[in-house]
Amino acid sequence: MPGRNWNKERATKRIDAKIDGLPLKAIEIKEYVRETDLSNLANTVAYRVDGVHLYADILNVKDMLAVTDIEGETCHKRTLRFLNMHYRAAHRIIARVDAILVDFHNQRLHSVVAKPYNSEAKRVHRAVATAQLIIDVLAQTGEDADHPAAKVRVGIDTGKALAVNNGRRGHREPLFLGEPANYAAKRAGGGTATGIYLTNKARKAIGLSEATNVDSTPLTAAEIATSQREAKLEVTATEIVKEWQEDLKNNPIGAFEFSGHTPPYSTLDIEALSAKNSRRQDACTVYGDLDGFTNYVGNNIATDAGAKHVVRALHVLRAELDAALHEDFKGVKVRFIGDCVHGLLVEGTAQTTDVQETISNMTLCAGGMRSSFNLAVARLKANGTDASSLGLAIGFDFGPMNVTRLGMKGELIRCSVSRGVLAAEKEQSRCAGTETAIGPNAYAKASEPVRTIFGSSRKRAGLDYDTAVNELSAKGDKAAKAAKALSAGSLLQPAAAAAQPFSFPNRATGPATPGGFA
Amino acid sequence: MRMILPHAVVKTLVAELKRAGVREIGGVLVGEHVGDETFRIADLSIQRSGGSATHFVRDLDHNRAFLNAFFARTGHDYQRFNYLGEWHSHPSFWPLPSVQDQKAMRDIVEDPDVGVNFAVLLIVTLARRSTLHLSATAFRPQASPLVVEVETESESNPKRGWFVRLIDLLR
Repeated sequence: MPGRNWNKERATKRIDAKIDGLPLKAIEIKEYVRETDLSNLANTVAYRVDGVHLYADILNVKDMLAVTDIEGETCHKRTLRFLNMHYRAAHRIIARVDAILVDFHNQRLHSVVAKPYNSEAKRVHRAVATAQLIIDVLAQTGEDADHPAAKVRVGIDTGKALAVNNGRRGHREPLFLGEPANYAAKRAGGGTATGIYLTNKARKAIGLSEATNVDSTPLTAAEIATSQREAKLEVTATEIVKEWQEDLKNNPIGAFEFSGHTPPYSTLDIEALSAKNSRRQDACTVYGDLDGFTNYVGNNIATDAGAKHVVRALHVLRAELDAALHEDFKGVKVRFIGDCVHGLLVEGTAQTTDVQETISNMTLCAGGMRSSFNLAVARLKANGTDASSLGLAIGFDFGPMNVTRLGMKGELIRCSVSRGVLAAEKEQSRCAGTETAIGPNAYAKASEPVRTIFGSSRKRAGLDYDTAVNELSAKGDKAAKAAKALSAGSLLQPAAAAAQPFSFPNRATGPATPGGFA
Repeated sequence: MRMILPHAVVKTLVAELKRAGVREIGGVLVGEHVGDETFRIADLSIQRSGGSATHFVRDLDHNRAFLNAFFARTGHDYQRFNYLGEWHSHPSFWPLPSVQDQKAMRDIVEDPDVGVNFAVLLIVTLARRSTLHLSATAFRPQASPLVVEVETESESNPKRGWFVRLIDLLR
């Protein structure tokens, strides 16, 4: 694992430059009014949006990934095609009902209903009717036993959230921060039963009684029918399915073709990927989630001064987590998912992953991300933004990983979905804001020093870079020793020293010891 | 990076792989820097001992003698003619670097006593008794391995430097 390390001075420079680029006086907080365009927001602008948030989870994506004993190419191809078909259908629905398409993240769709502007009840009814339309359409957009219809669970909440730029190249769609987005996501992920689940706030908005357990109280058929009557959507499931079939005929989904990327992933241009040009190899995947961010937004959204600090903290923290992954450890960010960064990391060759080195590097990278996070919080505080209530929960795992782009032509969305991705997300969700967890597969394949520092709980608190590199190298981890040696060379040394040129030196060279190959 | 594989080397490898059967064989590569990031394999040592069906240990003394002879033949013009890397066969597997192969190459390029800027690992296997399948990977200190583009030099049109041809005449 040559040239991967974290360095405080380098990270400080990055963070200070980012903070300097986002002075509080340059950040504008605006109210969302009629026909405000939330696409292409500048980094310095945020809108307060009173809207209804809808999360739709495709529950059977886990079944798709688990259908074979071995997580081979066929399993990944089926899953990606399955998601691609349903993305296209859901994209069409959101456009036809005039809702805001926020994001697809693997099996999860996030949309916001902001119209009509003057009635929360009407917005909730519209969101419920849209949710039922998604369920009805996705029940018909399967192809065969290998690509079945989707089983969908929808979560809905209502309230004020902050819309900020999500910073993607090409199409910069908004990111919504705050309680309604978070609570809707929690209802969607709150169980394995299908149906539409509203928070009590959303239930009250349309005159329904409060539920004792919102995650086990789906709307009844009669309640859904009431919302459908109130919403009077301009489109039916039959029309959407017909349009979807037409689109599929005119723009067929190409067969998924995989190749391995020559490590490191930092050289991978995900924006150049498509079904026919997808990547697949054994690698590590990581989720780094800002713990406590929803509360932080909730506590600060009411005033412009508070909201400005939220915008600044989000952009600085996310950018630094991305930099630690990409610049310091040569991984790649698949995407930001709200206040979370999802990334990939690999060592070895395009054909053969160096398993232990990849996992050791990932462990050091997780340590680097935590050190960067701690440093960024301190630098923000020194510059007037107190984000010290936040934490960072990190989960990672190892296994066959894919990365591609799915969806509508011209608006393809990055996707990396596998058993390992779901496992890493699960590992992150069992962590508090000071903890890092390693998934079962990575733990089983890791070097002994890595296993030792995580212990049998596979979870470790306070695992920053110095702790990781010192403990791993003391126990003989080769990757950590290399990182430590590089750090010792110079505090100003770049993450990866410039590679030697392809040239012969002006002296006799040749092997100095016997070499063992296999 | 690009590496030119002369037809004579291909012939030698095919003959040696047939002879070795299911045992791994290998040795070191020496090359000529022909411009930019292009190198031509000038010769290779062949070590028939030290291999099993799944493992090969490259002997130091045998290959040091080979290298010394090569440096003498090429007038100690090290910037042009030098040690290029390692090769071995995978009679039972695809010709791709194993984790142990990668570790061995990293040890080589990061060892100051070896003193290289880079080293190539060539892995070969024989398919249908006479077709050579291969992979070539370049390793550098503090950098990730790179796949080397290999160009096989045809027999009828050998793109060999005049100096190499002269050296061959003197061999």
